Amino acid sequence: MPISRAYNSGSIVYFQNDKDVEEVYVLQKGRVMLISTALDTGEEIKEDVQVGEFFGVRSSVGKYVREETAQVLGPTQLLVFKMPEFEQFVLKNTRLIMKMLRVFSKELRNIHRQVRETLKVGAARDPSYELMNVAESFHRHGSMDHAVYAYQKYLEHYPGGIYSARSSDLMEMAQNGSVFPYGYASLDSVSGTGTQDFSSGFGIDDGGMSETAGGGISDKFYNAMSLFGRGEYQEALNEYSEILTQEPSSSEEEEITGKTYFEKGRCELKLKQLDSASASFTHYVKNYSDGEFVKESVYQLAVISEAKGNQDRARSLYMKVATMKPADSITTEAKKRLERLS
Amino acid sequence: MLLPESLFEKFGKIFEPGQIIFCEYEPGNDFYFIQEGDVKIIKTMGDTQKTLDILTTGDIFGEMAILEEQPRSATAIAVDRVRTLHFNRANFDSLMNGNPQLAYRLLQIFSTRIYDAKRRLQVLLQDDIQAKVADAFLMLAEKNPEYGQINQLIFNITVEELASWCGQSAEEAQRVVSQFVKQGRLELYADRIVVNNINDMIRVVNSKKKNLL
Repeated sequence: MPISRAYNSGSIVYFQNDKDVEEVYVLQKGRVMLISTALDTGEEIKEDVQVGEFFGVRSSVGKYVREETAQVLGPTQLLVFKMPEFEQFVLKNTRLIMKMLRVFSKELRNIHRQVRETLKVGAARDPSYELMNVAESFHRHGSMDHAVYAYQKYLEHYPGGIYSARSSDLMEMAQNGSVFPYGYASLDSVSGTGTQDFSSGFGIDDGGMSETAGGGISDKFYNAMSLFGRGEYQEALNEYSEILTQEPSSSEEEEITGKTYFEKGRCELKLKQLDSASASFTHYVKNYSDGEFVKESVYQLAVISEAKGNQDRARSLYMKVATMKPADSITTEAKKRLERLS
Repeated sequence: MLLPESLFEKFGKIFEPGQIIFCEYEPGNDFYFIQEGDVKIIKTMGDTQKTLDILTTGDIFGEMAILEEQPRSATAIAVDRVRTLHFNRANFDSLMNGNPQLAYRLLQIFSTRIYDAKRRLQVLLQDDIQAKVADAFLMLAEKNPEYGQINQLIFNITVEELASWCGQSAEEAQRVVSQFVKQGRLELYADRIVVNNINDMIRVVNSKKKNLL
């Protein structure tokens, strides 16, 4: 049975990097602050635990050191679960696990986004190139079945792609058991040419945008993200706009449509189309209020307002961002900008 | 953990030995439970294929597809005849509700993934390339049960793989590794790198931090 434990003001429930992760807590009464360090800026991040909220879960479930310090402010009562008790408790309450999974997923997505942003220089090329590279690597190593599989997947996902003719040719060779041809032009030599006869037979007549021709919303979305990643903002914007003309046919596609508004806003910002960007972010915030990019959208709206000289609105939006959870690098940036405006 | 066999009729999929289940960089939204058999997870690094893991009965893979449709980060190949159950986001909720143990297992997997991803980000955010390389060794060492007990650790990685952990080109990583080799901190072999004293790597990371202050 979990026990209720009283803490005096200033007590530490656990320290960051503590190895003892055998307990999970729920705030019953009082105040607990989680203090951690932002990975990017090194700044201290303070976050209040809400009454009724679990904390210390992730490090306990994952059996890692504590990722933050939990400090008590004022007289406080915590419900303390030993790990077996916690496991028993949540197993009877799948909805709670699902809720935690969603929170964890969101966090993981945010970290992955940060990783991608950090890696923007020297990151992997677009996935179509990489898939083709994997196929050819299998082929060179004599793994014919694997090569055929990967060539097929390339043709399935990128039917009008820049390497489609190459993929068809090599697939045929692999199917016949022929080794990767000596002296065959390297994949890199094809990259970016676009006009060679590698596109023959697939009727590329729209500036390469037919790479996902016939593909669903998610294919288009992914392609647009790749274009954005390569700095081809106008092309990405065209693709996002195209997605928004389509009717989502599943909950997954609806989710992607929501994200499309946000990503479209980012393209427009890059293209200095401030009014359009503002409209896209506003649409996202209003219609996808529990979406994962709401905070970032509000932040972008603040930046746009500031750029357009509307200081009051910028200030109020930065203030809003500064109070939105979780406290992360966007919070820090909003606070900095707020200070500068004050 | 194994899922009830009754699910096999609806969600079952069998792979023959050597068959690809999914390929690196292929878009995908299914994730799999191994009911029986072994699955090899490999990654293409440059022109070589590196085995990252061998998964077996009761393991889960491809679970990142629960988050969003994104290209696979590795290739999964059936080692022997593999019986799997495969799910996607559309049937995820109902599956979890009927299998709380599975939901809890996923909670564990995601907790670990978050920690690992944050740790990786920490390496990438090091400003100095020497600190990046040193911190990448520390990150990998933290997974080694012998870390903290012995000073000399062997890493079965190439410079190219090390470079990918650091988000740097192989040439840049090679420069740092060569420097460390000259200083006697590392020994470099074709298939492994030996760190003679892992505490050296801690010192490199800490000294770069001090320089920033």
